Amino acid sequence: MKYTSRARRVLGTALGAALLAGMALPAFAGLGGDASTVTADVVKMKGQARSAPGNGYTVSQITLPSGTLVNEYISAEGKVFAVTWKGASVPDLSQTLGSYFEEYKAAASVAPHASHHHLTVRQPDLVVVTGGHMRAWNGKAYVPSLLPPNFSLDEIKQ
Amino acid sequence: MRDPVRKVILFALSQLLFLAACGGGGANLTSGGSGTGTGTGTSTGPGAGQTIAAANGTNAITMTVDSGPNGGQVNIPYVSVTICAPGSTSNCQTIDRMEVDTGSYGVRVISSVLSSTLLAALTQETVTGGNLVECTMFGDGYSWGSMHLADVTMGTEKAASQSIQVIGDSNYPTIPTTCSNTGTQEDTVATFGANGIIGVGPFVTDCGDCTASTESAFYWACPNGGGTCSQTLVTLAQEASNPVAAFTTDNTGVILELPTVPDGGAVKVSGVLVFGVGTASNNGLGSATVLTADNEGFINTIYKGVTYTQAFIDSGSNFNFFNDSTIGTQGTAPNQVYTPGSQLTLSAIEQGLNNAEATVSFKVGNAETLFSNNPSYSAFDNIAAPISQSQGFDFGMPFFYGRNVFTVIEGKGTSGGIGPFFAF
Repeated sequence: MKYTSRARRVLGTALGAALLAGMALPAFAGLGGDASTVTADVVKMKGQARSAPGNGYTVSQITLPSGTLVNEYISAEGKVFAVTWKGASVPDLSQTLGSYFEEYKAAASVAPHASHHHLTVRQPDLVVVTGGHMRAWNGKAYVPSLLPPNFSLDEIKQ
Repeated sequence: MRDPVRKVILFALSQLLFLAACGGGGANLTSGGSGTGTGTGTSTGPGAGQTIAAANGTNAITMTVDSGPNGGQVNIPYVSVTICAPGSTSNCQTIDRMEVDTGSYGVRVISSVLSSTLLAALTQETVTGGNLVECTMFGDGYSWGSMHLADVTMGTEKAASQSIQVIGDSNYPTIPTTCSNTGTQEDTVATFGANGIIGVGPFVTDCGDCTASTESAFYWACPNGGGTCSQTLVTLAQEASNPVAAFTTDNTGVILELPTVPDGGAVKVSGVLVFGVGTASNNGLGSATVLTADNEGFINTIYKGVTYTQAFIDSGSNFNFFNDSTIGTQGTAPNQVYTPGSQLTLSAIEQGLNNAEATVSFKVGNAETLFSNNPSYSAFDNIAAPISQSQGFDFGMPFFYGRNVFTVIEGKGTSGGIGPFFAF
């Protein structure tokens, strides 16, 4: 079957609209964000996205141009309750941690640390754990109050 | 975790206690040149059969674990490094408390420790569009600073015209948000916890791909004096690089040789950093087990029946980092630490890509108790913490006490094979 370029464009627009309407997420919302409203952020990060179902949640995986992988864990209510990243390059954490980024930075700055390979921030409403070594960094973050019922933290994987 | 106020009070108290107890604890450990470890470990534990090389000042230099330039650091190994203007033997500065990191690549110095005379003579690297500045991404934050040519000397080993990073260089005050959005800024001695760092891990450069792609956002072309920077390609020679690989001799890797530490910790520990593996009479592999690493520097670790495929051995990690939900934890930044009711003795198998295996025993004490009992101590061999990566298992500094740990660089041949590999 042949499409004219115009037909292809129309089809592409329809697909884009379907994605924006929340069908067949992947989305990129940032921790605590509302997945259904910010699909366009994939574009901002210039990422390639796909999604996979979990037990009562969806994992949206975004491959950034740097090769870094970002996973977003989205609850049935459409909230991003956890994120992970993995790659030689650390992603834009103001995007991945969303509104929690400033809290993360403030907590991380409290104690100077010469060990530059691992960090944990543990607040009542935010847990961030980062680590690795040069050429292979990774991290995970979650909001305890947003975790789905019966969710096991072991399910958060890079 | 280490509350500063509580620390000051406990520090004063501990000094009194330490004076009272002095002579009995053996807490201030030094290795006076060649000697045999006297640890109580089994054949798989620390100290067994260890011989620490003499610090001969040529290919073996003194390495010290202490509380760092501003105090408060735990399990960070430091050496002194001499930085000279390229080709100069007079415009030089020897900088102490440079952190020894087998989990990174490149020489980085905090700008404030460099004299203005030396800094002015370190040739600024340039690229199309401006001067070369790096955003170094670490696990706990980032360091922003310009790239310069310098001669880097340790002992009598010299890496000539190395591209080194001057962290916090005031000529480049405008940090791109792509960099600053990767975490907290660590551009001063106080925030970095060292006067600089030498990355002497199992690879040569800190990026590699940065010659072909700007997507990592490591390297930037910036106008001198501030203003908008843009992501840039670099040559391999412009990347921050393992200085050992650039030595004319003894360039195959490094050995970190530190003595055992008692369960209660030590105020400070002194050992030796040896350059070269299998290149001189003091750096042979001997009977060490060679564990070949993959292209990201990972080996396998098998712990409680589970194989972790992103395992590594790293002097830049100040604790052992692994996940075990059966051990309780406490604390927050910089780390949540394991706090078992009583000290645990655990075992793991480290396995290389070459299928060689070594079984090691290690201890996990109650970190909160150890820190509060000994707030002035900087060396502990029994502190561990959870790790971020689900497939990760990181033997950090506690693993290095009482063992000579070899890190061999990619492509470098030894009697034990070609790097990248770890051996101990």
